[in-house]
Amino acid sequence: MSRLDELMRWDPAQEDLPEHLARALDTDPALRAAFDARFAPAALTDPTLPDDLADRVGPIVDERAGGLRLAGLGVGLGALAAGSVLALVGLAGWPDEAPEEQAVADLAVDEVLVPARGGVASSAMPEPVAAAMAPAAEDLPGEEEREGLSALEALGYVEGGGGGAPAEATPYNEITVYRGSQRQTVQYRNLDGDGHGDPAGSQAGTPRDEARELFLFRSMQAKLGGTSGGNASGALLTENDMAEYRDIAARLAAWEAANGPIGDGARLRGTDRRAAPAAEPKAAATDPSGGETYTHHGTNPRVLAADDPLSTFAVDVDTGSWTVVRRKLREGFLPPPAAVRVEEAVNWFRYADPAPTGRVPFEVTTEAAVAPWDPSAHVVRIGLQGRKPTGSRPPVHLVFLVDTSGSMSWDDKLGLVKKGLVLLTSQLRDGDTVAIVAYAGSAGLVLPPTGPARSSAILQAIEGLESGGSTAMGTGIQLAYDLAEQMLPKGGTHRVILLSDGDANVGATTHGPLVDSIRRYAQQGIALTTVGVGTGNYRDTMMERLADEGDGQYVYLDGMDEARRVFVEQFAATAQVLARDVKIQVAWDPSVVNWYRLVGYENRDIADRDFRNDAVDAGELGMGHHVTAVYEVGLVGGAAGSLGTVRLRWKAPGPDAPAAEHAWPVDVRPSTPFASASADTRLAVTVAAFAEKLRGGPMAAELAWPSLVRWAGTLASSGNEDAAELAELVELAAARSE
Amino acid sequence: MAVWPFPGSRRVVERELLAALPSLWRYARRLERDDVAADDLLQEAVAKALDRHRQLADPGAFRAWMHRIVWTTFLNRRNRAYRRREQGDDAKVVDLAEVRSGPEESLVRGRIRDRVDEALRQLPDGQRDAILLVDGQGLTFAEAGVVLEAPVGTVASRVARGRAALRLLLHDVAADEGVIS
Repeated sequence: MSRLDELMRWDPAQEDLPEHLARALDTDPALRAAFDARFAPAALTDPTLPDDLADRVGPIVDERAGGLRLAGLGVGLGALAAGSVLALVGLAGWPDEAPEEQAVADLAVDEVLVPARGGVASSAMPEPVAAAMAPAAEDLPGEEEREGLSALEALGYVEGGGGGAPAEATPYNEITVYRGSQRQTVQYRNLDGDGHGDPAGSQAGTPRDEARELFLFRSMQAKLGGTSGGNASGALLTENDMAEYRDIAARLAAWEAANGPIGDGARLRGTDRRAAPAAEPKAAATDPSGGETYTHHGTNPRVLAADDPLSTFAVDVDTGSWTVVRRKLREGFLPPPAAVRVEEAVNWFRYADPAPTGRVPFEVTTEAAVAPWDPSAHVVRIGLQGRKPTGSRPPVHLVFLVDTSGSMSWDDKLGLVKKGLVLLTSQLRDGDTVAIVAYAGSAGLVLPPTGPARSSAILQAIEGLESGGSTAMGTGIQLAYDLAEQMLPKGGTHRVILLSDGDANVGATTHGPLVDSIRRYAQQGIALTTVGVGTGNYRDTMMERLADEGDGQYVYLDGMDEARRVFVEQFAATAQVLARDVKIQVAWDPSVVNWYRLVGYENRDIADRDFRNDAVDAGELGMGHHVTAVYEVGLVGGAAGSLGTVRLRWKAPGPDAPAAEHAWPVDVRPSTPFASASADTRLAVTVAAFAEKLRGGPMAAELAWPSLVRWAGTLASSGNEDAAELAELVELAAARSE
Repeated sequence: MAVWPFPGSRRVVERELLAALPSLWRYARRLERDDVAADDLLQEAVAKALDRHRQLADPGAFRAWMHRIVWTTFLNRRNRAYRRREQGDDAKVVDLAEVRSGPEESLVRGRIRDRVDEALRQLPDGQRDAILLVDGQGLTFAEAGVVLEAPVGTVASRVARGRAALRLLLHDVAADEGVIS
């Protein structure tokens, strides 16, 4: 009896398939074909089905099943035999509710699981059917999108080109592995730049595989580069890894010696139309020390005042960028340029501008000096000081949304968050409440709204926070807002405070709807403050964006000092809103101002005409907050007196408050030498110049490191703590840059 | 062509993982029937795989080896979850699935996926496990046998029986969806 006969006589209900037959299924295509044919789940091949219905099956299945993509199978139900149902089994697990802007779309491309071995599915399926099972053109991400972010960029291997890609477009199948004892983080991304996961394509030697090897090697090389000085990132790789990668380097060199340069990977994929695009100023960049994500927002251009005298932007009290930069520098790296936002650096520092005394809740101070890097230009500092907190304040209702996913398990993440929360608890007064929501694999209420009278319960809840699982940020945020909403009738200030590394690996759940609801709650008076922690997988872009949409502040904790500053010193600003939707419009007088350039605030830009459009959302200011804007301006010869007007438009706290407006003249003394300007102006300008240098902005070429070191040194010598820190960091950066 | 053979090395595991992740995610999703849990499962499994990279002397065995890790990790997670539930630890935890399923989640394609999920769920455990690996993941019978620690003949039988059962179950789906009358 042949094996085939044996197989056909076998009754699976009676006995297991004899082992020799079962093994043969893997090696004998004909046998496997017979097996598949006999045991095909042929439910969809109903012989009684009329032909016209059969023709409709394809479209119906496609339309109804959406992601199943069985279009074209209607050529005959016979084609729907084994293969298609097997495909159904394989396919049905698509993350099909994932948002379109996610790179999930990439995943879909290789989802059509036609068992190739044994030939049943493929042979039972006419050629056109097999072709039709490939995703239709419209299922692929748009061409622009595809060109936006190549695998090379996703890896941070090349920068640039990400202009069209949404900032949060993290490849869905990226996996971050946290290895507690060794502090190791390994990022896994879909290196397969063409989006085909192509599980079968792993035979070494294909061009794609070469490219993959190269990507991996280059990214590891980047890590190795970081370890040579024995600095902090050395922990990322073990000695074994390093030996291994050095070995690869040697082999690569040998290969290149024999075959010529291996190219940039993109070219190796011969059929790939998406060569790595040329670098552009806007880029989603990944820090070489890990899988961190930042978005470069470009730089403001010089504007001729005669063309457009109005410069309009939303206030920004974020400081996260500065503390990220500080951390990077102290760890021995230059920060990725995209991590540097000038306004956040400038606004981290404290200034001594006078506080308002009248009914207007702000006071504006302006000062000009000759630009220290260009004698033909001036710098203008505009300082906006909000009313300072008095003894009493309305009650504050805070909901802490704590990321307890596995990625948070380090001391400098969850550990820091817990210490910070304990500090903050000490700032609570009677009538205040805090609630805590943790989110990871499941989102949970850790502490219902609780007042300081039960501080032991609060402390206990904080102590009990543990990391584990992965992150479902969206769900956690919803739960937190629900709690905050419950507290709305009690009046006072309402805030959801998100503490996270932003690494929402499950957050492939929609960003769009998430952002919508954050915006909606902000309108109701529940602002979202984001507190970033950690390094290695940090998602700066995400954290900044969420706070922006939530009308709240974005801060980053690089240590206990910053935690104390944020949770204790600035608690009043968090606890009491001074004004909402605060917009600034500077109207330069074209008769005295030739051109101007706003240094920073690139992603805070508001159209001039929207200054008085109160439907256009802007930033929120807390009690005592200070905002500084630095302009570079070119003055018409002999200019003196007022250079223009600073206008502020804002709404009082609470929903439905009408907008108010106030104007101050930009009354300055031009031609003041930089060295004679006030310490505040010199500080703001030096910080702005430093940030500009770090991010490679337009002024960077004119700025010399020794000058920056000197300016910062002079400021530090006055005994200003913040300036001393600035001087330390400028020196670190200067040393790194040389 | 340059080939980088590192038997038993982390490099091989990393390389194979990178290629296999999308497929592994589908498997995890099938096992957990929840995107979030699938991410968790895969996270844990990948971490394990990297820790044990030396086990994988033969890169050709990667598929079976890796699926076995995902599978055993899944079993461990399920046991942990049972234990937790018995101890009542979940009392305060909001079920993600409940929070997420809003009225808007009535997309038809979601429904079909759920129906297929449901059909798979109705299979006896062993049959479903084998079907997921052989038909869902394209593993050979021998590989599936390694993953499930079952004789290869048993795997083949489970696949055969599972498919027969699926035939009936999916017939209902097809009929309800108007694909067949």
